[in-house]
Amino acid sequence: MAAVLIPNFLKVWPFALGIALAALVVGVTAIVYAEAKPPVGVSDTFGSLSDSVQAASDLDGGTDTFGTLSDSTQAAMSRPAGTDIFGTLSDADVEIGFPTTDTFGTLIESIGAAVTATAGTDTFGTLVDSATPGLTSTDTFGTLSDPDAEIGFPTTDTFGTLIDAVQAASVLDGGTDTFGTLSELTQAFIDRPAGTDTFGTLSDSFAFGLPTSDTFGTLSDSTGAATSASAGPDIFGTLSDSTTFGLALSDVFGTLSDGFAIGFPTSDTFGTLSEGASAAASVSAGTDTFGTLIESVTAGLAMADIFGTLSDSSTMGFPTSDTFGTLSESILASASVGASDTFGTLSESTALGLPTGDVFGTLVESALLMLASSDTFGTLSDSAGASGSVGISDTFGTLSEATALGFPTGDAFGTLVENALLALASSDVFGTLSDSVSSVAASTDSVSDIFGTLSEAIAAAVSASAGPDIFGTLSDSASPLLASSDAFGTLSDLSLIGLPASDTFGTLLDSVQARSGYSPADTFGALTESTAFGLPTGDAFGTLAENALLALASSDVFGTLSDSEIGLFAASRSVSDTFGTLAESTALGVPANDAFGTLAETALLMLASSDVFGTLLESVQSKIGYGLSDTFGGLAESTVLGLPAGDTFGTLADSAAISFANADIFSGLLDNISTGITSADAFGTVSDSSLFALPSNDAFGSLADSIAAAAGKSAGPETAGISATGSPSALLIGLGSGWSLFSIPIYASNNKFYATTTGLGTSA
Amino acid sequence: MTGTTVFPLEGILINSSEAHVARVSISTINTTPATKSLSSGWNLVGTASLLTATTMPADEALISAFVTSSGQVGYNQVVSPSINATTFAWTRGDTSGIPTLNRWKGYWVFMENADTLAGFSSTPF
Repeated sequence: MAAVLIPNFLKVWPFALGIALAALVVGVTAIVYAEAKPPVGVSDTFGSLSDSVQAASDLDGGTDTFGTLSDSTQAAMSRPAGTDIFGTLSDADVEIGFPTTDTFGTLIESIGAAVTATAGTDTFGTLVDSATPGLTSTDTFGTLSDPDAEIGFPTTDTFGTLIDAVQAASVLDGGTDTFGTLSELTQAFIDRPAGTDTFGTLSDSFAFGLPTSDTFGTLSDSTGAATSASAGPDIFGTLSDSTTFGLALSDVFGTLSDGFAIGFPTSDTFGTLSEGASAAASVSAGTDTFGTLIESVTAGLAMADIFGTLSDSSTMGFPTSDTFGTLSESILASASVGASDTFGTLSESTALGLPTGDVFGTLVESALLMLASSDTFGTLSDSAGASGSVGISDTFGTLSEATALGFPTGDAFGTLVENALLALASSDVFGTLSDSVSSVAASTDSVSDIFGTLSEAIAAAVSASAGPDIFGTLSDSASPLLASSDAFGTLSDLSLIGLPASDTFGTLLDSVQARSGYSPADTFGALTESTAFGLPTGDAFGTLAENALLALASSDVFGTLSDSEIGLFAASRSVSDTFGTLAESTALGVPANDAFGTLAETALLMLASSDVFGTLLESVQSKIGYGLSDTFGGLAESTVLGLPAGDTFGTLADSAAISFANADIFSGLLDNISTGITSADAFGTVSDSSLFALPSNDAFGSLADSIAAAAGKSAGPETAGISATGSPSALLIGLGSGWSLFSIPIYASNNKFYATTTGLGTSA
Repeated sequence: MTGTTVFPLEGILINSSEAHVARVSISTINTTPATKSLSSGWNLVGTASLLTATTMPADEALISAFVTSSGQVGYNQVVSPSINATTFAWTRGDTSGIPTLNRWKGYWVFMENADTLAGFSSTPF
């Protein structure tokens, strides 16, 4: 009787369900209790109760276990006989009053169970066929199926599957239900604030009223869910096929496809929108995230959206601050206002009117862009014909092939190649410009540009007012008129450059004929081959090689000078230069305060005072006139120097015939050094046949092996020794202050002596 | 100023304002051992010993001026002045204390009669 009446009643007033069920349960319980014989006691175990067993558990029985109750069993468990376990209850007319915390394996076929409102936390394996229980809170159901199930879902229930026209009506304040699957004509009304439900799958003609914060695995096929305005952040796995949702805010969608007509609220996240989605986002919506929008998407998108891919005839109105993975093929976006969009790729006939602050991964082929300021592009290639009136501070990865852009100031380019006809503004950054790039000269061009490479017939004309440009490489007939403070990686081949102040060069190669009038503080990585510079002060050079005829100014830094470099002497040149290596026939006139890494092979230097040397090797025949306080890393092999006072030596080895001055510091003297050493020297180690004439006040780390030092002499005129072996080419006379009496023991080639400001000099 | 050419066997007396170094390049020309004409009276001379020897006895260093080519007495006194580290005064014939002359040094030699002093070092070295 109840199974027939309750559905009709629900259509009129669903909220009466609980009241009706409660009344029904009270009536049935009274009938069963009157007829049940005998009463069931506590803690009984039944294998099977069948055939009209009219058990009446009228005492305070508890924790009974039933294997199977079937066929018109009219058990009445009206007392608090909690925690009973039933294997299976089946067949019609079972009119059971379930107490609290029971566990049922299966309830099938027309079970008219009515659980009183005080029952709790029941677990059902399966309820099938017209089950019309009046369930209490916190029940767990494996499966509910078949029509006519008219269930009032309380709070916090868990359902495995609800299928076939389940007309559940959650009339009370239920909450946090979990559904595995709801399918086919489920007309659940969850219209109270029963929040945080979780659905595995909802499909086929659902007419749900979804509350707040639900999670859906899949919604498909004509789902006519109507979400109320107060609903919260729902999560949907997939919505497909003509879904006409009225979605609440902050929802998350896996996939939306096919003919959606959705009103997107704010801050939604979509995996994919495809095929004819004619979403209409309201003006107040914001910050949606889309994985992919494809094919005829005509969304009216709100601000701050994020798209993975937009393709095929998308005609969007892009608001501000959107992020796109890829836009391709005939996208006719008409962005009217927004700024700071991010695009992964724009390709093929993209005709955008983009606002400022956009970021593009790649723009290719006939992109006719109206570029605003502060855009960032990965690549522009193939006939990208951006027109003027574009913004400033754009960043481009690569521009190639017939790019005819009108760039304003502050752009950054990775590579510009082939026939790029640029009108360069100031503060641009270029990776590479090559092949017939014919920049258009204009009074406003190219202040503070940065170029990776300029090569081949670049006829860039940078105005005189241009500022500190940076070039990676300039090669092949580049004849720019460069501004001040430029930096060059490499200049090679017939570059005819007028270099202003504070330039930086990586390499200058081959007949670079820089013009005079340059400013100081240039930095060069390498200058090679016939470089004929007139360099001012403050330059830094990595390498100068082969016939570099330099007029060196002061405070230059050199990495290496090699091969027949003949520095031009000039009175004002080269104070405080730093050299990494000087090798082979370097004949420089070096003034004071220089630093040398290595001097090797016949370097004929005029060394000034306070120089620092790493190593002097092989027949370095320095000329007299050296300065004070030089520092040497090592002197080896036949070095014949005339060193003044205050020098520091790392090691002197092999026949170095040196006449040392006062206060020198030696870390080691090795092998047959026969010097005339003055006072107050400090030695680290002296070993092997060193024949010293040592004055007073010396300090030695170690003296070893046959050192015939003649110590104990007083200060005064000392004599240079002559090596007992080897072939010295020069002798050095150490003379103290005041009167000295000396002679030379052998014919000298420079035997014309003259007075100097301090004492005695010899002719060259 | 124009330079003063200095040869071996010549003693040089110099007053320097500070300690310094002068560099002498050994001649690469083929030469005989050096000679120096000594006038009668005091002459300031140096030594030109072999480069393997740093000192020589005075009578050996001055042997070429012992007797002139005409058979007359050559030198008769040798003085190492106090400007040198070692000071002495030696007279010819005193065989009890013949001093040694150091390479690089200078000494006063008194010639009874003019003669030519011959050294021992030659170039190339």
